[in-house]
Amino acid sequence: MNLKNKKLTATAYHVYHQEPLSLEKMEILLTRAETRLSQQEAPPLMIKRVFTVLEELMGNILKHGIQNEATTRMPLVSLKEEAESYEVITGNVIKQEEIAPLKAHVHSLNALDRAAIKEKYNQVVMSGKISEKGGAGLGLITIAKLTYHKILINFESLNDHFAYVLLTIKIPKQNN
Amino acid sequence: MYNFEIEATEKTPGVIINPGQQYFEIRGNSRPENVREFYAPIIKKIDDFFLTENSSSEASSKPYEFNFRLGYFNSSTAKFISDILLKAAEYSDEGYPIAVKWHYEEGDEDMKEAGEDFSEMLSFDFDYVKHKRKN
Repeated sequence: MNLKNKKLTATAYHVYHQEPLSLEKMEILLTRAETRLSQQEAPPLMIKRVFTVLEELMGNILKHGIQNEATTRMPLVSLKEEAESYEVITGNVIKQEEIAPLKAHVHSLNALDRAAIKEKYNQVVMSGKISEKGGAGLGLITIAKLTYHKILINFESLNDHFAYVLLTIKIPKQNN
Repeated sequence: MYNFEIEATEKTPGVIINPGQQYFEIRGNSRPENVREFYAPIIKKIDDFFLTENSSSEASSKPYEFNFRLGYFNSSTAKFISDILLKAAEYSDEGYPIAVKWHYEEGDEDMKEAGEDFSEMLSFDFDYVKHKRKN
């Protein structure tokens, strides 16, 4: 995907945010997503899945994303509805050296079937530790377990030190 | 040992540890800003309680009930729920009669599955309690 050519507009989105992200802003976006989906009478289970994906990804941006004057690119959080799924896209700046481990993590999850994802989840829940930043390393595994879909990951290099990472998650309206 | 209670908020669950009733409950939503700070004292209270108990005492023939009535929990919370459940399983191995009740709302198959996953991880049977969905 050519990120430079991927123009996102706010019109078709339940949530569209491309500004600095804070804990307070995250709450506003979660409430907005919940309200919009409730108004559209989405099933409660679906609303909860979308909420989970948004919360985990925004949590990751707050824990791991770089938001300071050294980077000009703002975090992105979007949610839109498609015919057969909801699509969540998040973007944030990370250090260049974080690209390889993140890519490897996503690709390893994408290579697993549902039973193997579950096994991986159980293994990390039982043996994982909570990091200094408060993460359990379970966010993307939880998303993979919940959505049955592969996680799409793209990077754009910003300079020698930083890159912009885009994660795209599809949450199917029907379980496969 | 005194009762221990935490009021629920929008982001943190309500917690009841009632030693007299041999009852533990966690209820509501769990996505605390500092998950470790929230759960560490709860896990300590559970340990403190069992330290004062005797697995072979007469009172212990009544099950120690662990009730999980969660509507939503995030991935960081999952780690601490597993820690609490691990404690319950360990105390069961030591001879305490432990009953884990995993509550979920009708239609929330993900919450039920979360309980089944924990049960499988720990090789410990849970009772599943389905509730009608609140409107």
